Amino acid sequence: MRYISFIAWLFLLSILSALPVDSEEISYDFSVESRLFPNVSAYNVDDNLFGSFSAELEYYHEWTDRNEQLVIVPFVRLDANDGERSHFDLREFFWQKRFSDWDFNIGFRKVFWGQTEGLHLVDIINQTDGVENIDGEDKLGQPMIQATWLTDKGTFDFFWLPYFRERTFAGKNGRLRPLIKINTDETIFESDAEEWHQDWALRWYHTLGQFDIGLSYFEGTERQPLFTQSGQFELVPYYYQTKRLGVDLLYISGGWIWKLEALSIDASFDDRKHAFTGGFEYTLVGVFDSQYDLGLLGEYMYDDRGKTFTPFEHDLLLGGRLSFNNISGTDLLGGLIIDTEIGSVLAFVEMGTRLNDWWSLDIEFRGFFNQERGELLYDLRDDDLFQFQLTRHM
Amino acid sequence: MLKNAKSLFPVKGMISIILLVFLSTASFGTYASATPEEEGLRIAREIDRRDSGFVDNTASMKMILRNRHGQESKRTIRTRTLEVTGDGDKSLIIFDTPRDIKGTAFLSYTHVKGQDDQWIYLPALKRVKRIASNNKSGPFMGSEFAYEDISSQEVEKYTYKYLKDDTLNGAACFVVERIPADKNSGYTKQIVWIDKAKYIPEKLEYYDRKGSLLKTLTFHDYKQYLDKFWRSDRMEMINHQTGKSTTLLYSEYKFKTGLTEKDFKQNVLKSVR
Repeated sequence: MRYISFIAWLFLLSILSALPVDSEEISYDFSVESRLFPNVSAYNVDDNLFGSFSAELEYYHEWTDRNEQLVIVPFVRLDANDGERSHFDLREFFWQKRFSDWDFNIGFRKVFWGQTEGLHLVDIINQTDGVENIDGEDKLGQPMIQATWLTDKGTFDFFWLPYFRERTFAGKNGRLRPLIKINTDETIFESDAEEWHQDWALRWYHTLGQFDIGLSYFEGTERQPLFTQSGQFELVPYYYQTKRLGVDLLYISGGWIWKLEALSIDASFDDRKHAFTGGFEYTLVGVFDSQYDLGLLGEYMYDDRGKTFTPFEHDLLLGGRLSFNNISGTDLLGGLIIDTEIGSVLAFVEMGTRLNDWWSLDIEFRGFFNQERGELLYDLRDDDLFQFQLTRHM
Repeated sequence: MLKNAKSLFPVKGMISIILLVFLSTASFGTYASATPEEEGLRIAREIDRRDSGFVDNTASMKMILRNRHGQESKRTIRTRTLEVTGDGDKSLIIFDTPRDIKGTAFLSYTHVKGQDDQWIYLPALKRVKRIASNNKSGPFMGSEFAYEDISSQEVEKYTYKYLKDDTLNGAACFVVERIPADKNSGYTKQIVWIDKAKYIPEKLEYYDRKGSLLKTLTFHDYKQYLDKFWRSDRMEMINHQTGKSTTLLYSEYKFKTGLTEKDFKQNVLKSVR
């Protein structure tokens, strides 16, 4: 059924594009992705090779003098193995109107908050599209009314979030999942209003010379669920209410960028909890007497919400980013996230390059080492993976 | 773009006006007695003065990158610039192609003193990232232009020395050496050929950290806008050491389009398409 709605969207867009307009554009991305898991999983999935196809369309319509726009970005993935990974989402579908000191956005949008590289603690507006990748960078479109107030003393963002999106998880035939499968049909909410709990958020951010500063507050449904076991064979997500106060800070000086994100969390069932992550990125320009830039990354992660909530309670990220500065825009990012108490290691390498004006290639590796029983990533101990994605841009 | 005109000539009362008249007459009369450094600075300030008052401009740009074998790769870009009184200009550069970086945008606030502020917007992540300011010698999007070559050329960013007069393509030129003030610059010096009548650059040579000739930039097809501002429609940058080159083709120059400070805030990066 969900693909029928995708086709319906294509139809709607073709009608929209036939309207007389001031400025508009349609672009498409089509990707084929293959994931190779060298090991047999720690749960009952034997498949090693996974294939999928995805498409993202972007429709953009701008009215006169750049002050009004409509953006529509539907996304669909079809996965050959995992039915849960096959999904449709409206990444964006919003109308924007700009006034002299105020901007308004109404509809589905993606909003990012934060500064650090390894972990995005402060970022909360959008739900993670967990089936896309386990790095949490892929997000579902969030319905919102956003008002932005631009002042000399910084930018103030007000969000009203009338509907909650549930996180997506790999299905029983998918990889990168817990031993016991997650049943999202039985999801439990703390609030009686369930997905219709009215969430809201505020953010202020400002640049003061070498500092970029952000302060944020969120009240509503926590995006990351806890799990309760239902019967013997199922985990059920539990979404609770939370109040979060966040700070994000960046200081830049020459090649050094210092970053910090800190969070104070007040969940209804628990004492006030805290988390922070911070560190540096140091850029060496023209390293090895070449045109390459090398960025060195070091970040520490602390979280007292416990190991049932996060694998990053006291972890250290060490990594590097190599920018080739070539015509293909080749970039290489690699690193290790080391648990400083247990010694478990999450390793990652990501490479992206343009093949020509129309094709690009992304390669990823993730490895899980020394995972201990009882840790959140323990069930993923045999889920080391190589991922290849070829994208055609139109 | 003469950001500090007021501080250069703090005209207060009759005495300073008289002094000013005297000084300008004196410099006119004793042209030959100015040191090469003073003459170089005078030329730089005159370029700046003649280009000030454009308020804002927008333009479309094609960037053609060529490797030493002549293979080409193209990018299409839109630029928006805001003149800032009292400091360096603000600019926004938006990429339309290649498609994989469509919507990527650079925001920069240049400063007369100190490091420039730069941000890049990554549309896939909806993320605005601040960029280290020591990258100015690095290539801009894989081209032969470094960040410092495309950023706003403020008078204070260099020290100057007039070298000689020369003729370039039939036009009388000043030849001025300028040395970057910032230690993060990739250059030890630059030599600029400036048209004597129009006070616009015709040619620029870049010398690397070892003092060798690295690149030459030439300006072609100048057009005058609003009876005042000269803009080149074509710039050719050749890297002598690698054999690579980059052409910038400008079109659709518009001035005084009504851009404001608000069009150069981080918030706007998320809405440019």
